Amino acid sequence: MNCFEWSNHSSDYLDGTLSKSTQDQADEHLKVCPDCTERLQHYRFIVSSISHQAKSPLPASLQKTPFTILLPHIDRATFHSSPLERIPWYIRTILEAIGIVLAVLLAISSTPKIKALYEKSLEKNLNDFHENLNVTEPIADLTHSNIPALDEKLPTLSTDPASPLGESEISGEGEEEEDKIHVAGSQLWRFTLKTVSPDEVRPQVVQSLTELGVSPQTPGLGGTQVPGGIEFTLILNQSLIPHIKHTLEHLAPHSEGKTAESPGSENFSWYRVKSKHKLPEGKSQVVIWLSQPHG
Amino acid sequence: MGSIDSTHYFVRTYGDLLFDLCQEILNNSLQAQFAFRSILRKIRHHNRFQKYSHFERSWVLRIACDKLIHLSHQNSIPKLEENESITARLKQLPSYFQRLLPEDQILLLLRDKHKIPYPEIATAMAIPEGSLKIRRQLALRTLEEWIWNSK
Repeated sequence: MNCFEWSNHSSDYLDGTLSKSTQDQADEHLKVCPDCTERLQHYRFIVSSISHQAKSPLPASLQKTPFTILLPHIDRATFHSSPLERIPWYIRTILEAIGIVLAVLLAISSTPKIKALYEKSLEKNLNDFHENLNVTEPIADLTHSNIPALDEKLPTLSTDPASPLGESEISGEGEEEEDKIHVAGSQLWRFTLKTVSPDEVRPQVVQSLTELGVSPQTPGLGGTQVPGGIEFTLILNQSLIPHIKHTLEHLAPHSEGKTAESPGSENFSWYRVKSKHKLPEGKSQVVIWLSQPHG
Repeated sequence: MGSIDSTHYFVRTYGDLLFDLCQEILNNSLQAQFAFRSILRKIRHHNRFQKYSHFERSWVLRIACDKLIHLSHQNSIPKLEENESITARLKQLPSYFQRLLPEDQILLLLRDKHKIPYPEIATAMAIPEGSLKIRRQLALRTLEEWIWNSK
């Protein structure tokens, strides 16, 4: 038997109601454990003190006429420990009612503030999330010194019509394709080019765009590192789009032999939607997406 | 058994036990008299003596326990003077006893002062017998720690 077991049996041990074997084990434990022996002595002292307390006899008057005897007035305050309970009930009730009303008013008045704070914190969290999402790592690939570095943040669309591009800089070869692809105002052209290494293709894209006449100072020309690849977001002249499409198709790996009219080719695809942004006359938003194939 | 006769019977049979319990738990003679009277009144109102005659004392004690636990929770706990010596603390044992939970006080009084068997106490307090033993041991340990270890 250990101290814990003895402690569990201590009540029966004091009463002497343990079984013979358990009693022997408890005795054995007490021989080797001075702490439990001391505790047992303390318990016996307490039990002895309680059992030897004088018993209070029932007063004779109460014994004879328990209900008819008049007891002296008892001070109710002696029954209650709380000072609040000593206040007369009518004042206490009024105080409690006022307290409840104040609590309700406080709750009503503070609810919009709490709601506003909650919404503010939600908004802040959302903004933080977007900021974290937009943080990109610039790649120091500058084998070609004239290629702009990757942007650190996604470019915002600028409606500044001062584009560096001019119609005269476009070669005449693209005019036929421009006819085939109808270019309207406020359009977004999205070109997706699947490649194993977007970092290697990026300089070629930049170089091709530059050769097509896009100024190196054009915002977004460096591309942006985003999860899953590199994205170029540009505002360009609509007349450039057929040439860009043609160039990108050639840059796409394993795209030889495919026709430009098949937007669903293996590594190169494109589509056109209405842009949500108001763009200057003759301009279109172009998004070139160099993506790594899944898996 | 008539109402007046039964009241006198209970007073004769259990009067001393009940009044002593009231006195010990409430620690005030006047409050004890009021409590005793209210316990008697409750016994009389129940009027189930015939039904419970086989375990009469348990039934009486149960009513008394309920009433005393209710009343003692309204009472203030006596303040204790801080004493460094164990001898001084031993003299204050009744005050330490008053600081126990009313249920523990009743248990120790019924078991150690009035020598009432565990099954009856278990019925009176509506606590299983095994739990009563553990509860008694914990109450003794609490008193021991207050007095000998000054915790």
